[in-house]
Amino acid sequence: MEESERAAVGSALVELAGTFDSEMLTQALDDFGWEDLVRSEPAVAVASVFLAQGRAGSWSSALHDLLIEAAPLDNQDLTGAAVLVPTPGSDTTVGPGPGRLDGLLIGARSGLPSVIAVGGGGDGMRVLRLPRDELDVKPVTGLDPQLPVLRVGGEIRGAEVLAEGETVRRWWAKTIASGRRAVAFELCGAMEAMLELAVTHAGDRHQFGRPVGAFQAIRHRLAECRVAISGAHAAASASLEGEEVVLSAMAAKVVAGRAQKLVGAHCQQVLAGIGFTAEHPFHRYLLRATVMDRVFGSAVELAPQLGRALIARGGPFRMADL
Amino acid sequence: MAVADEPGVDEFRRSLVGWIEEHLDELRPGYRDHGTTSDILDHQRAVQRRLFDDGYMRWGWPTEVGGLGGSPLLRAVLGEELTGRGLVHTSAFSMPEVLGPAVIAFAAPALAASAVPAMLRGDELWCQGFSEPNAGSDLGSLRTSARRDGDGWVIAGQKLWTSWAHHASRGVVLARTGTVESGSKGITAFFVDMDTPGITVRPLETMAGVDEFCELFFDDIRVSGDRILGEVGGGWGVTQYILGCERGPIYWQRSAWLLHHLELLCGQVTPGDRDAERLIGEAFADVFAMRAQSRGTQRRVANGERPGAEASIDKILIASAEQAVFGAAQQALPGSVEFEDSPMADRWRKEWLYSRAATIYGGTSEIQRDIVGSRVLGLPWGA
Repeated sequence: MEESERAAVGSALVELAGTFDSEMLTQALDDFGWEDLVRSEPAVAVASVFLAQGRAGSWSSALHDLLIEAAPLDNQDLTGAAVLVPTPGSDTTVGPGPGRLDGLLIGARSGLPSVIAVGGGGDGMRVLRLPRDELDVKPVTGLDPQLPVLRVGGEIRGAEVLAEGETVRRWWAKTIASGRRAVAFELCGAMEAMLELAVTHAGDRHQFGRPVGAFQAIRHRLAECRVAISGAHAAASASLEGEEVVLSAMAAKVVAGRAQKLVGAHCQQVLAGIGFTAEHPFHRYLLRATVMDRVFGSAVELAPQLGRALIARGGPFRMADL
Repeated sequence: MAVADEPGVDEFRRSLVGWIEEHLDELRPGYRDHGTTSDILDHQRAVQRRLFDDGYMRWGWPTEVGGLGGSPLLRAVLGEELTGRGLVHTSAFSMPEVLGPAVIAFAAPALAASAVPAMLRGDELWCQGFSEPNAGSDLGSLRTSARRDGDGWVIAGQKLWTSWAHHASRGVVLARTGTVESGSKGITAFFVDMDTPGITVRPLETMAGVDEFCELFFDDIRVSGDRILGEVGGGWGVTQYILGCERGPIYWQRSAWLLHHLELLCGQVTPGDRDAERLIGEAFADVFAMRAQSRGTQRRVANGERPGAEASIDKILIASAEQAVFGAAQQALPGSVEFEDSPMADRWRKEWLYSRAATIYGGTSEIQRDIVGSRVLGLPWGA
């Protein structure tokens, strides 16, 4: 794809994700040829759709579509399945205990017949396919009721083992990296939305005879948000390139996760009373960002993992080549 | 290993890395510990001369000033490969990037053609006389004056925080040529020889024990009219140009310097120390974001754009990253900075202390946030 064509596809996807929400967005993405695009131009697909989805506060099946497509398992057709996302605190979706399943579906397509679970037994990691109707599937309301989350659990009976051993470890690391990059972009979008609301408010709202955005205490909070978002967006974009796929994705997720905490706090403070009401849209982005920071590991969980990995490899790598 | 005409970034890097590996013994600093300012600058001069004579210091600079042409990205690669191995100190090696482009853009062509090659070759070190005792963040209120005298100018006043002035042969000096009330519109930039009679340089020791900064006193020094950079009264534009260079292009090599120190730190922490892991992870994430952001700036500059207000974002990000990296070292190496006298501990100590100024020098983080607030976010200017 030419550079200009990429840009055009990117803006078309941004337009879609800004216009449609939920199943409508999933449908619109399907009509656009999302699945092919994820396969042929994953960087463009991820950088545009998740950013726009975060910015609009919408959702779609894009995350699960990406997980199933981004790191295909050798010789396995995974069509019709959704990859379970680990519940917070866990790296896998089998366990605790070898015979149990625990994972999340976040905005997944409703009609899919099976789920993919990953976890380690005594003899290594395995990828399992399980029929969905045999599982315990419960809707989760949680902090962000607008986001459809299902918690999938239950005993593992009659699972089909798709793969096991070292290839699974690599596949799973790449799949999680893919999810982390997507979530990093989505967080950037949500942060942009929060900052836009706060900047508009700071210009409109007058106190002491001037717009509150003229006070340094306000200006500096908002400027810090701009800095954090620019850094997070640049990091997310850089994580789409280079050899160190897993560590780059982890770093981008840490940057975005730390940034969303700062942006959420500063923008909330600047929006003050009105931002605390249900009628103001701010809270939608705050809740979405807080929830998405948890998905595939929060910044607090991932930072030590990242450090450990860097120490183990003898130092950092040079990312974001010129 | 020679480089072809107009090398690309990758080709240049391959050739350069080969050259560095071949000359590693003479490129490695010979001084013990962290080195004094004189040690650091003497070593850098020697490195620059070798680089210049073999061409690497000339790539990315215009042919009119002794360069070999090519993309300015080649300069970023050079800085990255040298500071990324700790072969030069990033602070001193930044100087050509901060002042070189402005002298090329604003000096009379003949002056630039004679001064820039000497600077690139390390024969000349330049300094930057901007801040004054009463003009720090509020640089536009500076009071050093320049008055016309025949076809020249007479400069009187005082400067502060001028890095390496005691080792410099020339300096870019801002002086007021307009009235006291003229603010930033009445400022002119001069390119001054530091051995001009009437200049007194007094080094100031930083709290890290380093004599990098200086006070400058101008006691009616005479400067010829052809030493004006740009126009009379056009000094603010020159200043913004230089600050743009200071807040953007040099950060590529500075990020490599930070990565080099993270690498050293990874080799020195206690295995399994969870606090160290967290500190290193967070510091790396900061450098990752900063470097990703800076790459965009490098590319814009290479395309002939000015860094502009966006470079204030880079400035804030690198200051945080720098404090995170050296803060991680201070925290993760138990007692090393506080109680050890080894060369390595001395190095961490000096860098940790130096990093505390990262949010102050070159325009405080508060000034940068004001710039981002008004010029990037479009907020009303504050009172």
